[in-house]
Amino acid sequence: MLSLDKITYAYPFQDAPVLRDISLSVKPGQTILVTGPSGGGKSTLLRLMNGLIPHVHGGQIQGRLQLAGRDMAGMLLREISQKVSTLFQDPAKQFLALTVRDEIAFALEWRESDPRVVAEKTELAIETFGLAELRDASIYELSDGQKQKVALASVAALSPKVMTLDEPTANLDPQASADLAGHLARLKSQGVTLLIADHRLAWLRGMVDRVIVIDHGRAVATGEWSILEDVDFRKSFGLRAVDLPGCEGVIKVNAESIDSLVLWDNLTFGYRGRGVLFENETFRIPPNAVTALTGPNGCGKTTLARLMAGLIKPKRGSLQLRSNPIRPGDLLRTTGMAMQNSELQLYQRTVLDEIISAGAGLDIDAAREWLGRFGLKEFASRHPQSLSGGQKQRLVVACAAARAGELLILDEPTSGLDGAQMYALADLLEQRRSAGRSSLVITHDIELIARVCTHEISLPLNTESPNHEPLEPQTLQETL
Amino acid sequence: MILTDTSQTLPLNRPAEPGASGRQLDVRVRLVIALATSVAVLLLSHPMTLAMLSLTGAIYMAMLRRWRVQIICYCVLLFLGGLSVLFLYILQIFLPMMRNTSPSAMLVPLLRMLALLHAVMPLALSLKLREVLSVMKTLRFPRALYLPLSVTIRFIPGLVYDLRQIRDCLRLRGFRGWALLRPRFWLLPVIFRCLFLSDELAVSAELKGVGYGRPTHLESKKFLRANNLAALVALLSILAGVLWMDRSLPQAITSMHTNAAGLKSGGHHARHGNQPAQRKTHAEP
Repeated sequence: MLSLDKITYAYPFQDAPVLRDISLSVKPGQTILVTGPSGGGKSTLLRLMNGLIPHVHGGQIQGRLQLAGRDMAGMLLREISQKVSTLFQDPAKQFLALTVRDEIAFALEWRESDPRVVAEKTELAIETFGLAELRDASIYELSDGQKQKVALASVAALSPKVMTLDEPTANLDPQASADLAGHLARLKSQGVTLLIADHRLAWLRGMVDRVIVIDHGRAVATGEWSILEDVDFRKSFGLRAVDLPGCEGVIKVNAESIDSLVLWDNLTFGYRGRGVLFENETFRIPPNAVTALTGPNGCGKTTLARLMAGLIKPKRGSLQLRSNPIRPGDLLRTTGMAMQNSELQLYQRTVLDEIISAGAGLDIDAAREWLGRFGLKEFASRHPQSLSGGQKQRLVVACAAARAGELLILDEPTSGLDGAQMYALADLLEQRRSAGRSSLVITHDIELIARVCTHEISLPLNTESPNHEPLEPQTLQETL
Repeated sequence: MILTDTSQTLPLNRPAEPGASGRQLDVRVRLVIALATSVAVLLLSHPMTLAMLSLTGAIYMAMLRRWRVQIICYCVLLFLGGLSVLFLYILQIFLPMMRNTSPSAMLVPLLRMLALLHAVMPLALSLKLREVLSVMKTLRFPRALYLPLSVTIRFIPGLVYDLRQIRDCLRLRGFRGWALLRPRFWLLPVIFRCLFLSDELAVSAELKGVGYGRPTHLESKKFLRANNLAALVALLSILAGVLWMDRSLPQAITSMHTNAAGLKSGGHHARHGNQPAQRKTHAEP
């Protein structure tokens, strides 16, 4: 179906190739996992396969790339996209319509000449992906998992031969990842070739036919799933775990007996015109702890984090810091917070200025030390917005950590991080805990929770069981 | 850009109360009503006919059951009316020529505003932008028009969310007061955000086949349903009745015609008579 013969590629205006000497042959119906450290060239390889390189990104390609027996160099993007569909990490950024039905029909409308065929294929995709109840829903109303499902339905409706997926589970909770895996398994059984680039591996167990590990632009290892079972191999390339660990040691923070660093008592909060989100709830962050804040999308995790940071005031509730009543605004002085969307949190001229600006009173040496801890020292004089996505994310976390006094809050800090970077973040959180400081981490990442979190706040509070049950390998295989 | 928690409707476009009849009307009918009323208030000038139109409009607006908004609108209109009368009195003090103008002269403009308000507010209060785009699509508007509009509208709530996040970040960094208002802090992240988003959307559009050939259209809901047709007929009947009753209409049309002719001849004079004279006056000294 797809073959790459000694492909070397360099982006425009760059001398060093991003991919070097990559050869690969993909048979119809195979599922290929492309993994490896961040910045290794995974996404670039996918862009070559879906035609975005060279048609959109340009650059210099050496070697031969074939799709269904045809040389891709002579194919238009339109021709390639009729055979190869693409699912991005953040589906919301690829939607061009306002409702679920319109979004699924959108690409079909450009490809089919008969409106009845468009309608039939749209309805079929809606039913196949279990979206009947959401048919006329606005895309704003969807959770991240539902958005990913809609995006998948819209590309599957085109009946592609090949589907490329770039970190499709980065923003998904374990349940949504399992749902996605189930849908992909069905597509695979229908003969669709799947090319998946991802750091998270556990959700793919049982589905992958072949693994390619890419590091510094080279295919450093290829083989079956079993090559990933070797712990030393994974460690040498900074890969994540292949089985999700359990979180048995993590303490639920709903118990009254737990001490509090920050305590919101009788908290009532709701956004104007959208009803009440929390009503007479009590939330506490324990001292000397790393607390995971978990729960499905839309349950109020980010809102609670903003309350804990003192960014918003509730309708009702009393706030205490180390048992002393304080005002929400006072929390701002002692809290560092890294939110999602890193580019919205960077506005200085250089990376060094950025961290100096964030860490109040930080001198240049200390700032450089912080950059070094996050592998950003060599970029000190670069403009923050010129960094890659992963580097920006690390810079934002570094800024928050440099500023944080009593409390550090991180919102989904590991989406898009490889194993080594995730472990480095876990080490930072552990160091803070050892130094008697607390951290609150909004995350779906079971590996991070199991590795470093001591406590967990699971929203909504009135649910009996945690809503992020680690997926056992058997469970996933049953799903598949 | 996180869009999950954001309402699909802009603040003004909050849906009407559930079951409100006005909300059930097709957006096209509501648009026609607004358009027809706009034309009618231009033509009509008799207080009685304008009052009738306003009364009919009040019933139409009441169908939305947004009582609070309706009352606020009336209060604003009353305030404007009061302000007009006040300024009229002030003008009469300084300009003797205005002393013959009665405060009742303000009635017709106010009634026009009232009638227009009744036609436009139900549209603004009940309209979902999604519906407008759907109608544009159904009516075969060029994609080059509604696609960018659709994408822009989709990202407005996201932009609001982004601005909030920038503000939060600045507050967390310890910026307060005027320091928060430095343009660099706001423009730089937003510009880069827009650049990244537009890049991703362009890629997405390319991969979905936008621009290749002529698109077909997914079958949309039928243009006229029975209730919409009834509403349209009712509207036309009301307008016809109002137009028939307005005894000043012939004079209004004649007056418009005369004014237009006067303007034409005045303009002619201005071009060929006054301007050269002025130039001459300026040149003589």
